[in-house]
Amino acid sequence: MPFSFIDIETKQSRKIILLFLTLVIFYFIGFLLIYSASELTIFIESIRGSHQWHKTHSILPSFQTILILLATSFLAALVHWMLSIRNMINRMLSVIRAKPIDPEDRYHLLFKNIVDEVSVATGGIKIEPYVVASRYLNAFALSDFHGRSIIGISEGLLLKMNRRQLEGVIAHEAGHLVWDDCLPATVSCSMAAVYAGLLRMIVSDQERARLPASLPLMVAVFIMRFLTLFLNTWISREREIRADATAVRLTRDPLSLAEPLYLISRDWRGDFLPSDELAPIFIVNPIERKLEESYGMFADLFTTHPPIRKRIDILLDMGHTDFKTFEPNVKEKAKIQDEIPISVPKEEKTWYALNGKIWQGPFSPSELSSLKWTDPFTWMTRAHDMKVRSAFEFEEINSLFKKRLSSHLPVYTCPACKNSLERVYYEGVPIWRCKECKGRLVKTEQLSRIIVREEMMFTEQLKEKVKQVRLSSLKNKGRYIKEPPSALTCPACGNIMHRTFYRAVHPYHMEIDTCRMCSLFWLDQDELEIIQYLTQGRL
Amino acid sequence: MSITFITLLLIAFFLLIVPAILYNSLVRLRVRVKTAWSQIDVQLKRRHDLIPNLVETVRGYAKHERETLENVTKARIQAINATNLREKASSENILTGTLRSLFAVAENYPDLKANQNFLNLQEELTTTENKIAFARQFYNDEVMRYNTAIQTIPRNIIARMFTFTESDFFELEDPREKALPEVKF
Ligand SMILES: [Zn+2]
Ligand SMILES: [Zn+2]
Ligand SMILES: [Zn+2]
Repeated sequence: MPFSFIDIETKQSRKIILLFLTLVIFYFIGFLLIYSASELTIFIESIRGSHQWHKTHSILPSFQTILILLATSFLAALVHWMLSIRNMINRMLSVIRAKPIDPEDRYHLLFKNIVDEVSVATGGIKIEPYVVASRYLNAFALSDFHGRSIIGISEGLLLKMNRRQLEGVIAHEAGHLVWDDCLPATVSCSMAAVYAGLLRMIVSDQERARLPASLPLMVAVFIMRFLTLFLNTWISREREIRADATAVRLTRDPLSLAEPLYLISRDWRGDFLPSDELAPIFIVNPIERKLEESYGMFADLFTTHPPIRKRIDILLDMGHTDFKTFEPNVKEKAKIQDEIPISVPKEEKTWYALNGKIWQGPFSPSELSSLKWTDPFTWMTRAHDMKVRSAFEFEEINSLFKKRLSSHLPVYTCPACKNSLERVYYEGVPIWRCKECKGRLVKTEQLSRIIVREEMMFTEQLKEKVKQVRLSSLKNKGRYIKEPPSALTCPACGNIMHRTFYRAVHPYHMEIDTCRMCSLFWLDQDELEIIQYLTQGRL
Repeated sequence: MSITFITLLLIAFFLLIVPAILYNSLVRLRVRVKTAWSQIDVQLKRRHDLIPNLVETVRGYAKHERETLENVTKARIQAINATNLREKASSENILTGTLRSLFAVAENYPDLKANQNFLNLQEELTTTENKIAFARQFYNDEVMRYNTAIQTIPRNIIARMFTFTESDFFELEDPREKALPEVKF
């Protein structure tokens, strides 16, 4: 059952009913305007004499007309309402482009851990963590009628904040969940988003047809602006200050929230959003506006967020400090150290194994177990005693084979030089790397996460290579240099990989190998860094 | 309806219904305290489960630190066997102390500090410690509400009649003040 009015009762959210009434009034005013306009045209026509003007007519609508209009607007509002709350959270998540976390990603794991910690502080509210793969700094909370709660964060914020600051931000969002004031905000955003979705559809249609902006577009923009303004009057600015206070009650650390608020306000907050229709759910309004940062009744009525400086001042007051001492102390996070191999133990290379009729080696035990041609029955020996046995008879090797079976981790060999690939963290993302040729195997969605993490330092050598890529892409204008398909085979499925241009580096052209079946990219030495460099600051 | 009837009704209301409401509110508060405690218990158990793995990992790199490792193991067993709240608090504090010296020792072994397994365990322990701290904070807040209700008029009368006893606070050294070395990946 998607929704009934009994649910409203149990939620005891009068605000939801008010939201619905707002919607009815919105449609009523709209219909009234249309009605009056049509009456007016008939009146004007009659003056010109082309139409018969009945005496019963008047420009003001009769009581009966008003009733009919009211009923129609109620129906329209109901349809709109149903459209808004159906699959509400998932629709909103896709508009914001938020995705569930990847538990293997170290930044995501940190985020999930902190969400779990804050959830304990609230007494056990179940919260799902979501991440938006973009560089802007912002966070949001959503909840629906079924009690599903979500806290989302942008990669940018996740990267730039330290553990304590993240805790402050997440506690703020959890504050909304504690007060249960997330639901009206989510519903109101979702209602505005219905028109935004419509608008996007029209825009993309027109782009396809290459038509200039026309009347339906203007009307849709106007309706959405109007509706957003209407709905925002119900989202109080106090709501943010209340959530800030709750965050402090949860963390007992006012500065842990004051610092991120300050840092977010000095950075890009994500004004990519189609309009301010989604603003209420974010910790800081994605669009910086003069009205938002001002005081007074008018501002209170039509904005959703209080001035950031006011919020920071309240928090600093709780922390017994002031802005002058606070500002110079806000520090950014120490960077997560990169490219450390995931399985580290240093092992001696003392093992040899029989491949067909040739003894190969020396290998370390973990290398042995990850070679594709070895199995527990391969003949093996050690350098110092030269006793030849099956692999499973050596305890050390057998346990590694067992681990390999239970870990579900695939064993890959380098498509370029046939060495075994090792797992390493790159910008906190677990990828595969070839030790010999320095090539890397990356999942498609991992690459889109890596390119928003701009923490790498780039050497002069790399910058030189980037210059060459730029030059050659100008020269070749999107023609392939190597003949596709390339000779490389996919480490996962064994099919031939294809050459493709990586889209995010547009307008430059960069060829990389890909397997579309497994959604994997194979990047030669430095290619990952070049992609990162080319996309920097453009996402 | 006579006046006597209304008076009787009023008396019945005050004698039966008001105490019932007060009693119910006390029961609700007591249940909240219990649920809050179970949150702590879950996290303490999680911490105890993580330690053997941690000890094993450290042992692989730092064979000469036998004493530190044994202290942790002993403290863990003591913490598991603790029965009442006060015993639990003191044994958990000892355990926190031994873990702190274990992580201090680990600083001297760069290979250990680079071990992914160790880093994962360290992050796991950090987040568990934080959860314990938050769970404790939530529990103590609930205990405060419950104890205040028991001690103040009018619910103190009901509390005495039905033997609602005060709950103990759970006091630990706050690991968030003197935290484990912050996880540096
Ligand atoms: Zn907020
Ligand atoms: Zn290779
Ligand atoms: Zn493939």
